[in-house]
Amino acid sequence: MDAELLRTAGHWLHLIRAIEEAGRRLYLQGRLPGSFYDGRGQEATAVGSALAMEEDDVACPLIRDMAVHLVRGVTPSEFLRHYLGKSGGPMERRDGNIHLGAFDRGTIPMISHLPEMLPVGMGVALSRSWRGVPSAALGFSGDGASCGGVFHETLNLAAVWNAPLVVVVERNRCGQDALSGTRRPSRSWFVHLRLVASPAAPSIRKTRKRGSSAPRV
Amino acid sequence: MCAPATAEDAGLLLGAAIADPNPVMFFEQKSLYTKVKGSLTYTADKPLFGAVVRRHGGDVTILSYGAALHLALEAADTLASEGIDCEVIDLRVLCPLDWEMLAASVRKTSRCVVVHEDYPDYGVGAELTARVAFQLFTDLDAPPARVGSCFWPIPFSPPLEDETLPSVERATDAIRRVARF
Repeated sequence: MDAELLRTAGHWLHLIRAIEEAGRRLYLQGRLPGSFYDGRGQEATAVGSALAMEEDDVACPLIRDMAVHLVRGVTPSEFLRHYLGKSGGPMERRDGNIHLGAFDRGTIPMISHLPEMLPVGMGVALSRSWRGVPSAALGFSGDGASCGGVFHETLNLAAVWNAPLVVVVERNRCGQDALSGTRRPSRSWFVHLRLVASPAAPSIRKTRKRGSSAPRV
Repeated sequence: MCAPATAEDAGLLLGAAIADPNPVMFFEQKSLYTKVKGSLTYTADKPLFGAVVRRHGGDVTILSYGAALHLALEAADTLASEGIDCEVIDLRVLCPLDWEMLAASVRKTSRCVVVHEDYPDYGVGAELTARVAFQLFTDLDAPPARVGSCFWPIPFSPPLEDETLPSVERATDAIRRVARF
């Protein structure tokens, strides 16, 4: 494995972990408005995906993928200012929490409904490409959220339009609406494997990587 | 459409909403969770209708609901010391509206101010003042006014949020202007 890539990935992994731990402390101290969520244990997927992005690409990171913003150039100071609702963050106090996006650096703020950001990211990348700026969209979804209809519709639309969309399904075997014992969230993943491997969807390519290793991602 | 301002109303209206065979929209404001105290009683036999006079007065009618009711009552207290006697009405149920009750109060005072957390533009306050102006025009001594949030998305930053939401100062200013028109 490339030593330089390992060093770079390690740097971002340490940085996002440190920032999110600081954020969590601030939240527990009651100094952070609203609520706080982190991506502890799942940072590598975000770091690995973001490192693969090109200059003009866009990403729609989710709650656990805040490392994407760091890799794209949001500084730790901007990051914490944003969480604290202070000026100097990318959203300039208007939005906070996980709803962080630096449009000039190619990250789009998420909305809480999952996986509704996939079609938005796809639209941004498509419009950029049509205007002569070749770019791809990087969208994230958990295996739970991939049960939603929007996920399937976006894949379908991306295939029909041949849109430059990369979907990272973070298969953590958790799903908010998947009760243990009644429905296995990981089932949906196998449905997708069959879907994307079927002859009906030749323009969708798939690959599977260990998400806890940033260089592999 | 219900918008309770007190714990008692939250219980009563929720019971009525559950008992009602039609779809009901029930608006609770998060800021009230820690602000109001009271006992919750759920009974299904109370009607899903009716406004309540929270403070009697003769100079200006203040229409309010939800969290802004507490703001309106505070503003009424402040203005009482200046000799402006406000009647504060808690709408409780926004639709169907207890129009007879509101109209009787506005006819009595001949002045009306809506104090709510909604945007004054295109919101509940716009509807209420339009109705008052259209149906009670000859009874009015001043143009009806609205107090609400500033017309932009609610910001995340606490100081900006405070600036956006209606305040006692903004409410008293508007009521004073209507009272002295």
